[in-house]
Amino acid sequence: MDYIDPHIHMVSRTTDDYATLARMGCVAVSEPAFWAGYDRGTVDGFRDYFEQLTSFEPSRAAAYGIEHYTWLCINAKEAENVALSREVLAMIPEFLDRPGVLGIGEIGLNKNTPNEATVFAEHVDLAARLGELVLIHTPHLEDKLQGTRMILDLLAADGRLAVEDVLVDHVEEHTVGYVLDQGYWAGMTLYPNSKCTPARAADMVERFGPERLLVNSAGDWGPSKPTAVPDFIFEMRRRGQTEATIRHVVLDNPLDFFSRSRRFKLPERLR
Amino acid sequence: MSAIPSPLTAEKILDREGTTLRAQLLDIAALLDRIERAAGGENAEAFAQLPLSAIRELLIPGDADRVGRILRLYSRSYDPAWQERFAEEGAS
Repeated sequence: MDYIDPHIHMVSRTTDDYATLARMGCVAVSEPAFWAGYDRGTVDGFRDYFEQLTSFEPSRAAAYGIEHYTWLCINAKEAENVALSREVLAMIPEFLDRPGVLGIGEIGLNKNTPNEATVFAEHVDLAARLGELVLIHTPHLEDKLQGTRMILDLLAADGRLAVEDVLVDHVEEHTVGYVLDQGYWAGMTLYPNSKCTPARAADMVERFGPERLLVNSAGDWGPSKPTAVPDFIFEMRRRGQTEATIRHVVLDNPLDFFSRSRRFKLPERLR
Repeated sequence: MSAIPSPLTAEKILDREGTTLRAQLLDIAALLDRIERAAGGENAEAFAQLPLSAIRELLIPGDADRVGRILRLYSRSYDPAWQERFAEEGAS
């Protein structure tokens, strides 16, 4: 089945993964800017990273017939440095009109601190002023419920973003209801230990219906499985769910959300 | 949001997943045994309250939300007045 992984960090993966994803039906990947595993020191570090996301990585993906989309921001972890964050925010517009850039992301909260909240709000302001989509990271583990609700409060306080233009990612059973009830897209991340499993994601699709739910692998430099979306497809098929329902989650929903970006172009394989 | 039915009956789910369930229960049991065997293990109730409370949640039926309940048990609390609190902390 053709599918899209709407949240995967391919800069940290080898071409073996592209080769595997291409064989498993992946037509496109969407890669938000994220924490590299260490705190970058300067805005030029982010400039180089954005260059990599918007030029080199799409060419790496294209060699395997996979469309590459990307998102730009300073991530929640590095957002604790407000001064650096503001330099990065000022620099983001230099890259926004590059092909494949879908919007601002993955912004969010990490430890739910005042500085993180400030920088999150300033990213939302940037997105609202420039008419951009937003992809949001919700915190890990014990911080997720508190952080998700804080994020929803901040979005409501700003009020300018259309709910259809926002994807709140890494939802789990205790946060998905809040996100869907307020009209946003909700991403389920199939990542070992700290997030969800294919079976639990399938359960959430059954409990809440397939509308506005997406699944992703968030494959990155840590222990993770870039083929997690095919695992979800397999689990849904094992349960006897229809091909139409499965395709709705793994292909139609990502396409519907991404197509709201004025720079979105359909993956070549789907044209 | 409209739920979609599970194509499998409850009995079919257990039939299909029973071996996996057994393996997962054994992993939990082995971990608890490992804790009990280790030095200080006799005080497990004191320092392992969170996981033990989560295990007790497994036995409470009726709302099909054991996962949500356990996740909430493991979560920091949300304060609806956090924005006011941040504003006060910022001012001071």
